[in-house]
Amino acid sequence: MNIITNIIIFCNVFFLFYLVVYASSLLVSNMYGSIKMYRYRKLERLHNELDHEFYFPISIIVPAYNENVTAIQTINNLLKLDYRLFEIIVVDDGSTDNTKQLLIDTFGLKRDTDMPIRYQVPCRPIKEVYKGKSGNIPILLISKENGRCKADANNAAINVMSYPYFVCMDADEVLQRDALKYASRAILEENNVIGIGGNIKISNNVSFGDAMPVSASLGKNFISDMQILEYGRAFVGSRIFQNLMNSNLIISGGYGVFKKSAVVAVGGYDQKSIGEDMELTMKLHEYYRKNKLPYSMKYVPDSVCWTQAPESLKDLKKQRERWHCGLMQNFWKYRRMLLNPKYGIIGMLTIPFMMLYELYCPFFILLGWLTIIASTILKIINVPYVVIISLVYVLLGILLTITSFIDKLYMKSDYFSAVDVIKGLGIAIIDAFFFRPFLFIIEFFAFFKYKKISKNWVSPKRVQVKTE
Amino acid sequence: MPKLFDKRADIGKYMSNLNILSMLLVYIAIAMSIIISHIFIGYSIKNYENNLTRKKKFWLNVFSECKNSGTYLLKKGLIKKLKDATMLEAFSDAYNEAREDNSDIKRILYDNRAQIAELGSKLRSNTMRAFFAYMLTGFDLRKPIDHQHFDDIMLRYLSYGSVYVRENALLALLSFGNEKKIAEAFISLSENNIYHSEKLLGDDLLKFTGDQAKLAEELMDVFSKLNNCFKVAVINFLRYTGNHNYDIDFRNMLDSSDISIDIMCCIIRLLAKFYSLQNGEAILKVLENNYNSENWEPAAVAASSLVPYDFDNVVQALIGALNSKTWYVRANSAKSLAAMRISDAYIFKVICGNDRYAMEKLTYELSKMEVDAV
Repeated sequence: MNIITNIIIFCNVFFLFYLVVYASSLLVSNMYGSIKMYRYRKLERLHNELDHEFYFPISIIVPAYNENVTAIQTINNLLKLDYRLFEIIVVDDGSTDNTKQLLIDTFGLKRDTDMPIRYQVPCRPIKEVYKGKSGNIPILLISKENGRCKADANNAAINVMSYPYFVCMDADEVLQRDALKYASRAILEENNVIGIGGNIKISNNVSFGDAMPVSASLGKNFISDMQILEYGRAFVGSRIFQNLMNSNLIISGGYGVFKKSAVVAVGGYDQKSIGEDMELTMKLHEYYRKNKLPYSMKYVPDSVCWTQAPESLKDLKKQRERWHCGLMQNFWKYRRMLLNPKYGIIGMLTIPFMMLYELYCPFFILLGWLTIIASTILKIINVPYVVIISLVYVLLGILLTITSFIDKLYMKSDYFSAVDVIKGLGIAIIDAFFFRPFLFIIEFFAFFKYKKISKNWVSPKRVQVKTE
Repeated sequence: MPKLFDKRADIGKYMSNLNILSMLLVYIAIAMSIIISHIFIGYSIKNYENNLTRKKKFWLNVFSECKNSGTYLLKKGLIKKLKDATMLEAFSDAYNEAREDNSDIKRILYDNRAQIAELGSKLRSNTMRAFFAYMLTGFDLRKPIDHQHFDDIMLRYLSYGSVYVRENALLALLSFGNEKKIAEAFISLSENNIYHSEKLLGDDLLKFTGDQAKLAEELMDVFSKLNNCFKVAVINFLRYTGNHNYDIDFRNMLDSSDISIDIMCCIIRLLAKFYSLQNGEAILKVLENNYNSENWEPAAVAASSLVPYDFDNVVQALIGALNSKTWYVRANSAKSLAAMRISDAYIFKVICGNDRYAMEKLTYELSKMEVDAV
């Protein structure tokens, strides 16, 4: 009995430290994120910027599988980019709808027969390449065998593209008009930048005019609104802080800018990966650190891409199961980096932290609850005290969520009103008591459904974005 | 630390010992204060424009008084106010506005140049320094008498760690139009091993307000002392401005064994812009020496630069380069051969050769030329 008691006491103390470390890291990263965002605006106001007419030529890759609802709108938005030199490469990944023909007809694309293709990174065979222009902007359409994953589509585009940098994005997104400008400035600021992560925001209740948001308040769908808060926590509250240590482990597949030669050097995207975006980022970290090559992967909060978030619990569940499986897969694949001093702060701090607080978090939470129950039964716990601590902890989480939300104040071209803040507070409360436990349950069961999820992934329902 | 193996230890004791609740409450206080500060900052952002307009009016009044009194020397107290970011912005905006109506307004800068320069040298934050430099660029101080007090400060700014300070300081120096100071700036950055993007440097040099030919001369005088990123910028600057007075020096550099690949490629692009037999020979030599080497980049650039030189030896070299192990060399060679509209005899030679990739690439480029022509 004493042994059991001592184990439970040990667990209780462990969870206290677990929560304290997490709360501390959230607070520090939130504060840092807020200060940095404020500084970005101040820097811009005082002309601390690299404002040029010409930056780098960039290829924008748009993988499209059965995207006839959104592909044309996405391309039209890309054509409005405030950037001088770029090309658009749409990859029709064996669509069974009329995506390909729609693109050919809309943009007057002509087949480029016998175009030699250099397969630098693996992908399914490319069947046809169509070329055209809209104004001065080249548009390429690659038609290929279905690779069953976005990674394959991205790799195909890498094999065809002409420019030294590329953007990966999804076919249902709106890349903000000034996004590439901010990304390119980040490349100019330092030598050896090989990847830029952009700020991904939810477009579900946003209206656009000329690829810029015109209005962006919280909508009527709680699920997408909760994700707005969640993305704010993740991007502003966490990734800006990780810039300090060059330790961002994920440059999102929804929007990222990469140096082509770096991606080719590591073999491109992994077609077997469920989370190909994280896999590529970790692979780049591993390669550059192992070979002691100077590099930098940065997160740029002003380089914005708007994406559609699932609006139903069913779609959200599928998405989060896939993300968690991707997390599992990538940490297993790169387990050699864990606590390995050869990989610096990534191996010694970032990966262990993410494993504890992202990957295995559902287990720790479950264990925590079991410990509390056992402690209560054994009468070795001060129940009111535990309740107070829990409520205070939840309150802290809610306040930090609101802080990240209010950081919109410093975002360029983002909008919110006092009503949104009050609404956000309400949503943050529901988020703390419902949304996050719901996500923990999904992530917990994702461990046991890994094989099933890794084989079958279906994209959520697409809708067109609102334009004015 | 709690004694883990005591019987029935009360967890509450450990928790109070660790002061967890107090700590969390402190965190909540910090989070609340962040939210409150956001509210204040939001308010100040909203009022920023009004604040700036008010301060600009203040400076316009000051300039107006100076104009009426005929004295443009400002009191020390007024200059001190410029340490505030919004005041400095307002000063800059007011000056640029007053300049449109009053040509004498330049005397504000001239009569107070020592004080303003001292202000610039004493600014503590890189953000303010970068803005100060930006402000000077906007003042259009082309005459030596206008900017000589600010030259040294801008040169000093180059050594500060911020890329924005460096960039704005360089732009300020370029706006002054003094080519010697630009050369001095480049040497200073090279000696201190400070990196600045070649792309930025090359584009910035085009904003030089003085004599670009003299600037080229000064930069070429110190060329050997510069780091690679600055050398690349200088060569690109010569290319953008069509200055081929130094082609002979660059042709000689191509023969050097320790030249970097980036510089070689830049030199080839420069030589390619000016048709001469000597330039053609130099580019051809690069292609012949490198088309199958590990350093293939210069060969790829050379291959795309030989189109105007449709001599037999050049065509033969390009046909040979079609067999290069490097994709880009083959691709560029094929493009150049197609653009040269080589004779059927040459085409036949490639088609009948052993290299399938060479044949495919050449026929593709030839067919593209036909389609484009149609």
